[in-house]
Amino acid sequence: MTTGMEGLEVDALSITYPIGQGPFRPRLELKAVREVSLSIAPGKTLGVVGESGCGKSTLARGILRLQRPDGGTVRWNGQSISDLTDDEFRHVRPEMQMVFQDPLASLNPRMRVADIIAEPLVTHRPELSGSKRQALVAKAMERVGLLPDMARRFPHEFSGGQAQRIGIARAIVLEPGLLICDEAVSALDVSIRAQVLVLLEELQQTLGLAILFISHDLAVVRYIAHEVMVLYLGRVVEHAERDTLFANPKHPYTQALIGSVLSKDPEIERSHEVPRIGGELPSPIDPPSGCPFNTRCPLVQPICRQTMPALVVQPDGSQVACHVVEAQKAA
Amino acid sequence: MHQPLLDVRNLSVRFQTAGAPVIAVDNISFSVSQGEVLGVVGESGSGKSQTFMALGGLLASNGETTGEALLEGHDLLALSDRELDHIRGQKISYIFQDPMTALNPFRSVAAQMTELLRLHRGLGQARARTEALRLLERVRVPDARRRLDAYPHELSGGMRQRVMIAMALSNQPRLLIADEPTTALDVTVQIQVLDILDELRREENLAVVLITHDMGVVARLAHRIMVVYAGTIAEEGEAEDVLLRPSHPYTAGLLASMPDLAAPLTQLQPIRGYPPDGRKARIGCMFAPRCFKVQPVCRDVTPALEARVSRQRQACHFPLEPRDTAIAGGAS
Repeated sequence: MTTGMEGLEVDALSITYPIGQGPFRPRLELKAVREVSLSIAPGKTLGVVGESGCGKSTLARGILRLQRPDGGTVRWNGQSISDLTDDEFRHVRPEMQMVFQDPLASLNPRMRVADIIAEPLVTHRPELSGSKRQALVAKAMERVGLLPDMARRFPHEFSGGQAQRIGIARAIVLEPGLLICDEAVSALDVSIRAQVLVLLEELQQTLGLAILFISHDLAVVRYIAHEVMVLYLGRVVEHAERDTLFANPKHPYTQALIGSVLSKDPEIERSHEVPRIGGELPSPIDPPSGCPFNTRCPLVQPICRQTMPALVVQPDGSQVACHVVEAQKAA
Repeated sequence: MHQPLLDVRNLSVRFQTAGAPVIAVDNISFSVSQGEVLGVVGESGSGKSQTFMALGGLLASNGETTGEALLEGHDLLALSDRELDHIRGQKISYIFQDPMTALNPFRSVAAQMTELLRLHRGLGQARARTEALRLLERVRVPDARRRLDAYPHELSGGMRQRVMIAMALSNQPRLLIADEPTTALDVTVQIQVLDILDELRREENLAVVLITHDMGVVARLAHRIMVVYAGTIAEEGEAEDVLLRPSHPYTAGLLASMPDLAAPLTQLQPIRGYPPDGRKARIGCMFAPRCFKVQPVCRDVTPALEARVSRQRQACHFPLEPRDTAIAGGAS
C-alpha cells in the first residue's frame, strides 16, 4: 500500500523481545515499544526523549528492520517497507542511515577513513567506477568538515569528535533521505558536541534530510528538533511541536523530565525546585497496570491504576496520554 | 579565609610512553576548604581526573608526579605507600562515574560495606552491619534494610551510586572527590544524587571536589569553579563569576556550546578545532589555536593565572570584559 506522504511514517509500531528462554525458565516478554506512531517530513527533525530503558533505541532498530516488529507498519515516501522481502528492502535501505553513539566503536579500526566512508557505496552501488566512488567519498568528507589528507588515516588517529564526523560522512555518502541519530552526540565533549549539532543542522538544510534524533538530553533536543516525542516504558506519553512541549508540557512525566534539567546559570540553579517524582523506572518486563507512569506520578488517581490512558489530541495540537489532563479539561 | 584543607602547589603529572612523554597536568596550584564544593570543569584529556588521581596515588604505573599536595600538613606526594594508605583510608574518599564497575558483582552490598568498616574503623561484624545500614539511610536509600542484602545487579543505577556514596562515607573522610558522579544517571535521578552530596557537605563539613564536564552540575553545587584545559587552569573563581561573567575565551566558548532549557533558544556558537595532543610541545597559551581573540603573543608566551579584569583569575593575555562576554555568546 502506498500513500502520497513523503518522508517517514510509522503507524502503531510494537516490538517485543522474548526473554528467559530455556527449558526451565518461564517465558517472559519485554514489550519494548508499544503502538508508537510518528511521521517525519523531509527537512524536519523529530526528537525522541526518555530515560534509559524507555524503548528509544528499539524504536530506531524497528524502523530500520534491525528488529522484527510484532505489529504496525513503517512507510518510507509512501511505500510500506514492513511487507518487503529482505531483497526488496535492500533497495530502500540506502535511503535510511544511522549514526551511533560511540564513534570509535562504530568504525572498523583496521580500515582507512576513505574505505570506511566508501563501504556503503561498495555494498549498495557496486556499479560505480573507482574514480566516481572516490569523488563521492571526497564530497562526503568535505560536507562534514574532514580534510582530504585524512582519507588515508586509521580511526585511532582521530579524536572522538573527528571520529563522529567520519561516522556521519559514512551515513550521508549515499545521500539518504532519513538519518537516525541514536545518542549521536552524547559521548562527545561539550565543545565538540556543539560542532556536530551545527553540522547536522547544515546537512539537513543541504540534503533535505528527515532526522530522527534520539537523546536523553532535553536541552540538545530542544536545540535540534522541530517536534518532540516523549517515551515512557515503550509508550508515547506526549508528542508536540518543540515550542509547545517546552513552554507548556502537559504530561506529569514530561514536566518532571523538563523540571530535572540543570541550568548553567547558578542563580536559576540554586533556587531550582526539584520535581516531586518518586522512585525509578519500573521493570519493563512487569509494567504496572493502567498508566505505566502511575507508580511515580505525583498526580496519580485511582483510574490511573486501572485503565491505560489513550493518546488524545489537545486544543494546542499536542498529543498527551494522561487521565488527569483529560479530567482537568472536562472540569 | 581560613586554612585550606587541601593545598596543592605546582602539581605536574606526566606519563612516560613509548614515544614522547605525555604531560597530563602542567604545574597547577589550587586549594579546597572544609565545607566547600570545588567544581573542576574540563573536557576529556584536560587532566581534570588525573590531577585528583595523582593525589590519591592512583595514577597508572607509568605516571610521574611533581609538586606538593598538603592535606592538613601532610604532603600526599611525598608519603610512602604505607603512609599514603593510612591517610587515604582516614581522610580521602573517591566516587567514580560508573558504580557498576566499581562494585563487586559477586558480593552483596552488606559484604562490601562491612569489609570497609572493619578495615577502616575496626568495627566488629555486628556493629559494622548496623553502621552500614545507618550509612545507607544517610544517603536516602529507600527500604535500606532490604537493599543491604541485595547484589549490585539488583539495584538501579541511582541506587548503586547511593551505595557508592555510602561506602565513600565509611571512613568518615574530610575530602570527598567525586569524578563525574552523575554522568551515567538519568536526569530525574541525577538531581537527587547531587543534592545528597550537598547535604553531606553541609552536615559533615566535608570538602567536596566535583569533577565534571557539565556546567549545570557545577551551577547547582559548586562554590568555586576551576576550568581546566590541556592540563592547565584556564580560569578559577567564584561560581557566579565564572558562569555568569566568564573571563577566559575557553570558558565563554564552553558556555556558548551548551544549550540551556532555562534560557531563550539561540544559535550555538561552537569553539572551532579540537583539543591539543598531550605529546605536543607546550609553548604559549594552549588554547591559542582555537581562540577567537588570539594574538601573536599568545602563541609564544604562556599567560600566568592572575586576576586581570575581574575577581576571578584567568590565564589569558586578552581576557574578556563583561561586554565581550555577551559578544562571545557566553553566559545568557
